[in-house]
Amino acid sequence: MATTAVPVPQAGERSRWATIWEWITTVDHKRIGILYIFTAIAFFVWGGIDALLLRIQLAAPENNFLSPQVYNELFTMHGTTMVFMAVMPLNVGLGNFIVPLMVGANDMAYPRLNALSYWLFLFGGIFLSSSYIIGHPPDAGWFAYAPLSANGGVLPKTNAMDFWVIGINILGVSSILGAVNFIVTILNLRAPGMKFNRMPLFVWAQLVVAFLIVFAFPSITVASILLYFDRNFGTAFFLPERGGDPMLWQHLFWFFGHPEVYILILPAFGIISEVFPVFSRKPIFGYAFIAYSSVAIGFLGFTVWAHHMFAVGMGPIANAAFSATSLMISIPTGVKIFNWLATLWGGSLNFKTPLYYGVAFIFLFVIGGITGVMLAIPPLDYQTTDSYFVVGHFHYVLFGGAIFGLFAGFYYWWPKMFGRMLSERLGIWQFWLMFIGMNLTFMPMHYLGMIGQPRRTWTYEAGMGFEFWNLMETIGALIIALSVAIFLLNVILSRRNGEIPGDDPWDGHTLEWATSSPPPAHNFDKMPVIRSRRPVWDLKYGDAQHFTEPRDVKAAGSTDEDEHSHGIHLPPPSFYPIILAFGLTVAGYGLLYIYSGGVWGIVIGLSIMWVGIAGLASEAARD
Amino acid sequence: MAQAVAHDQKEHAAGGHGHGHPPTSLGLNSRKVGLWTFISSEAIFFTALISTYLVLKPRNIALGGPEPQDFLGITLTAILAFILLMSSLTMVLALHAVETDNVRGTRLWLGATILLGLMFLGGQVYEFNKLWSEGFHTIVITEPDGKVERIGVAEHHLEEELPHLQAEHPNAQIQDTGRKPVTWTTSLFGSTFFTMTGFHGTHVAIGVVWLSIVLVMSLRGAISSRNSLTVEMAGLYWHFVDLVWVAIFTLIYLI
Repeated sequence: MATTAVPVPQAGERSRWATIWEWITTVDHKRIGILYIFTAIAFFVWGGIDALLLRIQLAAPENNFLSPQVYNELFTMHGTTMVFMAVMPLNVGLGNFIVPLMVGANDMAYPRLNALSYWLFLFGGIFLSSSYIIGHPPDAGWFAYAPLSANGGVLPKTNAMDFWVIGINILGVSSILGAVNFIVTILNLRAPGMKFNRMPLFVWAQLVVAFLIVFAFPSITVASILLYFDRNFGTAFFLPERGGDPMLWQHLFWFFGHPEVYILILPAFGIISEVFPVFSRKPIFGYAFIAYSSVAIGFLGFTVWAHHMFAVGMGPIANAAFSATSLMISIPTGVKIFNWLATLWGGSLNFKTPLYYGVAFIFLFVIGGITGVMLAIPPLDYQTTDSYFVVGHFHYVLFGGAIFGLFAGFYYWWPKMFGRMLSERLGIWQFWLMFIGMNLTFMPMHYLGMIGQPRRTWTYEAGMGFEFWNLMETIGALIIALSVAIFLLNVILSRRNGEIPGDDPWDGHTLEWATSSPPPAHNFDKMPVIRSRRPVWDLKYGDAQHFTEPRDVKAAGSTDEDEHSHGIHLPPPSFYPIILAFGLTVAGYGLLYIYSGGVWGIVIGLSIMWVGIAGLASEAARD
Repeated sequence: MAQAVAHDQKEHAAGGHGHGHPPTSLGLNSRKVGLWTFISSEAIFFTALISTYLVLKPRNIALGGPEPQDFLGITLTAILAFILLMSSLTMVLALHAVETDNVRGTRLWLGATILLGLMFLGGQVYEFNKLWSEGFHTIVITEPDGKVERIGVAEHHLEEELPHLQAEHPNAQIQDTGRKPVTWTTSLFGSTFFTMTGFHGTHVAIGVVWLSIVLVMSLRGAISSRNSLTVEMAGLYWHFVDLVWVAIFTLIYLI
């Protein structure tokens, strides 16, 4: 095991370039988590600007602020950005930072692979976003229904959807590799005593999400590769005029797409399950039910995909079957809701920003869940599909659920990640603005959908009863934007003015609170004995308050080559992950211009990739 | 106790690999767990490709596309399947050899596995080539009542098939739409078949490259029972790729 001791980084000693180089070559899960989070916040803001432009267009009837084509591009990129480049990587980023700490590991199972996942995410995001500059942004919706997406159809024939196909695949590779890493970390790197039934519920949620990614993403990989063939090589998988089957696209897409919804929301469930017990000063109510209901949701999530397709004519039997499985999902979800409420019930509530977001999460997610149950009933779905009712529904789930959960997590873990508290005052302001803005934006959508406003339509006529609430929604969206701006301000101010927390500002229960804020590169100087689900609570209030021996490798008296060792050993920084990711992205641009010399791009890209692979393999062999 | 705990944590720090089977939470090597997870993802990938083939198969026939059994000789593909299954056997022997520090055996069986993999790839290239040079005709049969039926006929069956069709549909108008080669784009069968087997062949090729790297390492003396995992990992992947062929062979050639 040839390894190098990694000293705790000390600020102020290095030049700026050395710092940048350090971040580019880092394999530390905490730094990679931070990179994920800030990159994803940037894309979140970008996707939010897309949404604001859409809302400005819809603020008044027969508005000409955006052309129909630009409107198509913006709603496609808004959805794609938010799903793949904002919410997913925010979940991965928080998980990256927190999960190894929670299970008492020194890092992820494969630190270099972890870095590779991040760089693939960054380059995949840049690849997709570059379509604004060097081509045409994708314009067929985030679920890219064929044949609309396949051969141009009524849309102009551009390489817009090739950007989408290739970008999604780069991001998909990133996600699958990341998920494998999470699975192995959680299954195999738990500290002694951290049994499955003692794992924090956030870890359970991340484990289920990782399995969902591993099993769901190949389906969209295949679908999008076939779409690429249809678009560029003259096949006809999805082209009905040549015998292909557009419904095949929908099945393949939603077999990925529905589990994707749980990929987005389950980490928020996990965050809430951590925040509630700490801020109620109680153990979580019904631990096992919450943990196993995540598993149940993950499993059932693969059996419901065609409820997105009730209106395409699958017939009553299929519709009824998929309706039944969809309704069934509300059972494990309801189990969670009641357990969270029971956790709050009778607790000594410490009403800080994370709990505000947590309580609002329950309120908003239940609304989204109930409209979800409504949409799972085919007759109602026939009436409301492709209307703003659906848009309202999934924004209550993904904004009221996933985003509110993530903000709860940010406020909760920020002191651990950066050693600075976020301002509570700004936090409460941000919360109320976001809560009001969110409801003002998305609640009227249910009504507008019911009275017939179709989604994905660039404008509407005056006199149809749509004007007032559309204007209100636009105002709501601006309030959300203000709230996000306050959050960014809070982040910036906290860097200098933020209160310096102790190691454990919230009186936490789980292992991440047993180390310093921010944690050292090797995570733990000493590890509490883990005898329950709340090892840090045991340490503070239990009867036997002790740590295990400091983690000195030499003290273990093991046989091997670590002569120069005097600390925890982590793999050295590596430059190859970014090389490999860069090579794949170059090859992606090659595929984009396949008929105008792109083959050379593929050759060059694969050669660069090969350098990265060979480098990583030789580093792995040296471990 | 403290010693044991510290030792355990040391292995965590080491990423849980490097010494055969160090203690991890599950007691399984982390690299192996990771590869298994990745393989399960690959299994869904091929499931989606195979599903595409099966979903589009009836459409291909209804459109008068070529029917696979007219072209794909069972003999050749059975031989290919046999070659690939044999390569799994030699792979097992290679792993056994490395675990017993049998250097010559390791090299021999790794080499044999690579050779069998290359033979399979050669067979596939031959088959692709043969298919591309074959032709098929879509015969459109229009009954007097306006009912239209399309039938795909292989070129080498055309002369015997046309009189049959004439006899079966005495009053119908029978029209030959002309020769088309069996390629990736001329029919749904071609699209699904070449895509599915092409991706499988690519996986075999990656396996051959992987095994070749392991063989080179072995020739340099860098492989022994201490790091038999290097061979085992390549073997896991190789067996998976073989298994996919068993599924494809059964679904395309036998059903």
